[in-house]
Amino acid sequence: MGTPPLSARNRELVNLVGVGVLTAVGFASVYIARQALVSSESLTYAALFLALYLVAHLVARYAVPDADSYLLPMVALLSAIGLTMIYRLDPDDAFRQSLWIVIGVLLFGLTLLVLRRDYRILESYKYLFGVGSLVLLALPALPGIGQTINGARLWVKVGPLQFQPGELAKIVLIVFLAGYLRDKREVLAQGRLKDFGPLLLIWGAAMVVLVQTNDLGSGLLLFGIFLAMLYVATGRALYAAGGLVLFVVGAAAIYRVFPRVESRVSNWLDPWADANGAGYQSVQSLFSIGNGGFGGTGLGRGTFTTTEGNPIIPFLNTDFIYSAIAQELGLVGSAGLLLVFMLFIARGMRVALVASDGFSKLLAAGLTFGFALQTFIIVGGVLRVIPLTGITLPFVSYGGSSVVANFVLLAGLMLVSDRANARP
Amino acid sequence: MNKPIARLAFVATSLMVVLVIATTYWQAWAAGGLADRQENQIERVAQFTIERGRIVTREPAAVLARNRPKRVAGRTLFFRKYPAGGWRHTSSATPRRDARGQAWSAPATTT
Repeated sequence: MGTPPLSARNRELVNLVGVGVLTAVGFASVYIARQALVSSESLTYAALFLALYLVAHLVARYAVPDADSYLLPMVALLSAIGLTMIYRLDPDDAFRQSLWIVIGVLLFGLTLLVLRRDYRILESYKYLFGVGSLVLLALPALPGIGQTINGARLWVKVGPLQFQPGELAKIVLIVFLAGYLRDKREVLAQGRLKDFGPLLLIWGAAMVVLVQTNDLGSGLLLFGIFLAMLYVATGRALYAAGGLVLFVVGAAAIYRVFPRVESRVSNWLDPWADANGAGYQSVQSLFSIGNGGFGGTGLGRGTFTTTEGNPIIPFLNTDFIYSAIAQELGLVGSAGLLLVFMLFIARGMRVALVASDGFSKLLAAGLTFGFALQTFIIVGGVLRVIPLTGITLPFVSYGGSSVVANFVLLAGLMLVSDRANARP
Repeated sequence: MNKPIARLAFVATSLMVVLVIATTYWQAWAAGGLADRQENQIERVAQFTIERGRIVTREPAAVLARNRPKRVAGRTLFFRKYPAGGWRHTSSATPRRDARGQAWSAPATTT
């Protein structure tokens, strides 16, 4: 009766083609709004974009045939929305961003190919991953290669290449925590203090590094991932609650010591107090969001430059890309974007639920929660739900390290999913 | 481990629901109030897109105010010019700059 159900990979292909059509429409509408002409150039862009994801699809077909079929198309959709918006703001940035997406897809394919037999060998190298994440976090603090940009010491510059190792550290840390917590979950659940030693040590070191690099957004992100994974491993909500208390106490102490954080918090509580100074960014970003209203101004028709031709919001395509999207696509578009994030999170958590072993469950839950929390921290910051800290919106914001790291995250989820769904 | 994972999934998706609610608040409830604020650069740009008429006097025949169109970031803005001088209320030609190097204008009286 009826047609046979599509295989997972065929469903992925159909969805990807749908995303390709959407990309073409997005690019075309930016083109029409900006140049008042329909150009085949926008179609070329969309075709190249689709071709890139078809490569990713073919690798997935070979390496992870049974993996969840919605993860890759959703990532394609998110990066298409991001790339369209970046293109609309600055075509040169969009070119660089698409190069990073190419590198991301290559790394995605490489991760799948290398780990397709059994990614669980990573578990035996867990301490290497633990040390690795610390090294990655500490890299920007090293003199010579470390770079301070906009008051945060997050970048490493080697020759012409510049990247944020913190983004990759997030994933490496999740692999370590998955391995370590799987190993120690029974003893940790008993709650003897000495068993927490190595965890607290790694955590303390990470905190010190983060405070030194002056980046509290990632600190919040890593701490949240740690608490979530600890809760999943032990099933004890008390640990998560205790951790939260610990965090609030720590944050209050940091608030007093670091002027950067103090200004962030007072801006959050009342950005109108200094709307042309410290609160400028926040306030203009809210204006941008409010201006979008229900339906938005339409792609390419928003206002992002002053009457003098200067950008209204600094860092629009990284930290504030959500306010740009909210203005041009309105509530319909931004809520739609958030729903795509939500669906991705739901699929990722489903992967964790159906995975058969502890390491896989922890890995998938950690990766998914990291993705969710990162989205919440940056969009929540822009919307004044929480104080603003500058981190990227996964797959959407402009930024090479973030795109590449998130493609590795996607590869991890698909590997776990393939193993869980594979027929015996 | 499935029970904690299910709860974590609930928390993670709830975070997105919070974001949808916050976005709705700013774009539906607060939008009007935001548009009315003096600091709103978008509204300021919108005012400059309006082509206002000239102000002329009959005796002696003179143009007191006219528009000078200028393309800024892909759209035409109309800057007010006062050939007779001495009339300027807004100062779009010499923007003040804040610490960030961002140009902004003092809250303007209407012209």
